[in-house]
Amino acid sequence: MRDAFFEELFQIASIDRDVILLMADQGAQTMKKFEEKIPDQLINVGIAEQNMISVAAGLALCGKKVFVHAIANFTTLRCYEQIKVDLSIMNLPVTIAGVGAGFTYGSDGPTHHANQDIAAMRAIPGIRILNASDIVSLSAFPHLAYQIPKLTYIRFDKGNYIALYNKNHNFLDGMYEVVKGTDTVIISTGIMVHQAVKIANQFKSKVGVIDIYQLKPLNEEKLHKLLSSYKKIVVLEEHLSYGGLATIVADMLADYSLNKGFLRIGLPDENIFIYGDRNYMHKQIGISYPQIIKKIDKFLKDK
Amino acid sequence: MLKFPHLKDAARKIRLNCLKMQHIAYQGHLGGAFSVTEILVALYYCGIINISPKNFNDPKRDRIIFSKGHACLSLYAVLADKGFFPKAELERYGQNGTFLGGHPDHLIPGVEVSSGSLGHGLGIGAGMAIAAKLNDQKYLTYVILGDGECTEGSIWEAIAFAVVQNLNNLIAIVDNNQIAATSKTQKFVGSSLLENKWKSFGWDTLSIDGNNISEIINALKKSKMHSTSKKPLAIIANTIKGKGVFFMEGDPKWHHGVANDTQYEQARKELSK
Repeated sequence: MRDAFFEELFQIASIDRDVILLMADQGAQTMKKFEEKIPDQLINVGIAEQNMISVAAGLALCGKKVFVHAIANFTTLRCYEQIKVDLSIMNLPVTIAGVGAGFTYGSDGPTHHANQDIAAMRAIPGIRILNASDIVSLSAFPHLAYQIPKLTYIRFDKGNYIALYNKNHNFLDGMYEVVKGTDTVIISTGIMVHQAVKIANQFKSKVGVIDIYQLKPLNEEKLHKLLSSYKKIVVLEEHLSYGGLATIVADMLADYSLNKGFLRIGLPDENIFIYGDRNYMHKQIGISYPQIIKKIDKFLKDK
Repeated sequence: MLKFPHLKDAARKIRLNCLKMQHIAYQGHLGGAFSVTEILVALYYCGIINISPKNFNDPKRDRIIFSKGHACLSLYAVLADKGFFPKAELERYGQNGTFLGGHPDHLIPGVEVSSGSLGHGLGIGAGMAIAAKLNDQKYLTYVILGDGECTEGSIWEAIAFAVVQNLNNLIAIVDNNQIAATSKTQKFVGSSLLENKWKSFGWDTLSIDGNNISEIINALKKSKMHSTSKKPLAIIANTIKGKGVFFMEGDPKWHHGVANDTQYEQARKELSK
């Protein structure tokens, strides 16, 4: 999946020589293309995320269009203050591309879990946050970041997921109703959207799915409109339930005084020391497919 | 070029302005502002570094990053004196609605980057130096650091990076006043020479008296010819914290100590010749 991102970025960078990719010792197949064809536009800063962000700021101040890349957890939290001071305060249109959303690196342990990055990055003034749910969205994001320059955090997974979108999909709206339902909607983001679709199908047409791929700024108007046909909301995410997508949606509901049934399904307020594959981890935490079905079934029957 | 006594006098006036600003606002870091004064005079008053209000939007101008942002009183005094903004603004420092904050931001005319959080400037400078090479531009990037600031790990990430990238167009000037906010810097970084540390990372270094204008001018002239080397250049400017006011010199108290009325009068007299 991540090569899709860098393939597109490579295309952009091949045409615009001001596009620079900085990375903190991260490999991706496509990096070789940069090395061979446009070596001046790729800089490996080594395992030094703080310096990577500061260097990005210096380049951006001189007119370069900078993308930086590292593991999501490290390119957000390790250099959080650099993002605040060098990028946000100076309002520089740098794009931070983090691989390893949620439990992408699950079995690598809690140091590698990106389970609070959305909460942290949401607190950066003026940032745009994009979360890819499939290869099509991820391929579109570098173009979006390039065409509408703004401080941006793009987070994504590593594995392969089936396409949810067709190639002509317009991602400017920030979200899409992937499945239309009549009663309850599952709002999700990233690869958990696939889980949401599978679950919604189980409930026939009763349950819909909205994929919010732009978490900030939230397209509140569109979400407001989409929610008008639903009575209940489930937010499903592989991120802390408090601070992530559920909080983003809850903020909007409060601001619009919308009174709807609300269920958070996400990660607990804990560091996770469970080692295994993603399904195993989800099961241990209580967010595996059958466990979610059970939770939603109960939620639908409530009241 | 201006004659030497003139520059000394410029430094004296800058310190006097810093003192007055602190007195009016009852806030501000004098110690570091005083140690870095001659460095700023050499950078902005001698015509060696290509920066002025007229060319500040010219991509070919040299860059000066004031990374030790807390010492901004002297930077403000210099920028106002050089015409980046009206001198009257100095009196509004510390007042409601002033654009001169306790640490410099990039919105102030003449300020390249926002600083105040230590340890950011050298990495940003490295980015600017790379951009110069990519764009085939000859400008040099100067980064003014404090020796206390060099405790930050991010500085050492940038130090290593600049060598690998052959940034011979990047010059670090370390205001080595050897005192941080509470004590001698030595207490938390050990006693080995700062110059040796930079050298061991692969930088070319110069060690000078950083309160001696002619030594700084010589070092800056050398920096302009530095493209013969492949390495970045660190100028270790050995200075005295609180320089210029006898009772402030070498005393950590004046990192952000505010002079009372008696101390103010005493300092004012000393700086008025």
